[in-house]
Amino acid sequence: MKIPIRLITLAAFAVLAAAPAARAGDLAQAFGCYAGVNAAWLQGPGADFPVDVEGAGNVKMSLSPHLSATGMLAYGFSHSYLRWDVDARVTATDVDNPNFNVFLGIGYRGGSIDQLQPGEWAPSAGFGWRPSPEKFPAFTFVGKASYGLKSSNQITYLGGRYALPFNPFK
Amino acid sequence: MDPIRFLTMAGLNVPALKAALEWAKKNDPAQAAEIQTLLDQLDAPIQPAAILDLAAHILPEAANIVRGKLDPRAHAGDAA
Repeated sequence: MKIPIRLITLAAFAVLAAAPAARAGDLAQAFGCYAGVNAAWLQGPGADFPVDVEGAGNVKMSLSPHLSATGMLAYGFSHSYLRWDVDARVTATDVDNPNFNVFLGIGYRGGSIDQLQPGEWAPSAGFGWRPSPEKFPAFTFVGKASYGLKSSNQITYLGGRYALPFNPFK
Repeated sequence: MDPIRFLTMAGLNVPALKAALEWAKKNDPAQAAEIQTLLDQLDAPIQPAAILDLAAHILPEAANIVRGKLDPRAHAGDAA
């Protein structure tokens, strides 16, 4: 199972790496960055800690109606760790609904403490939901679960994100 | 095989995902219909035609990305 997922992931990132050929206007529309907090659970062989509160920063490039590339860096306050991941994602719901979607992803993740190592490939699933797009257009609820192919550890988090007014392509 | 069994076999916390979707459905009537459709799809068997349909969408999109033709959308889940 590992080899096909690695191949699919590498193929996905090869496609995404071609995106810089795009027009600057498209890139400005595709890019987004967010800051927020997570409640995170890490479960698996030798890696259990019940829950941690994380501060998180995310970047995303929406490249087509279904395909996106994302990255996240999070700091766990109780266990003093840094955790990161990069994903290629496929939207599994209505691609024209900006307020709710579910995605499936494949990517690579790692972190600064033993429980979050080694760095590994991890399939994932999650969702995003903007509960009040009129009153709070920048706020999004998010959730994601990923499974490490090497460690067999599962990382699940629920969180809130605020869209930051920063775009290097504008 | 249904998608929930497939995702659970992959190690994903599907019950937590379903609980979160149920919570979102209850708290956002505007999205309730789509979320319910999704929950129904999670419970339904995977149809080969659905996989082919998704592939038929994704492959041309990947080709467009390689050619530098982007068609960005505002996906709420990209913030995760």
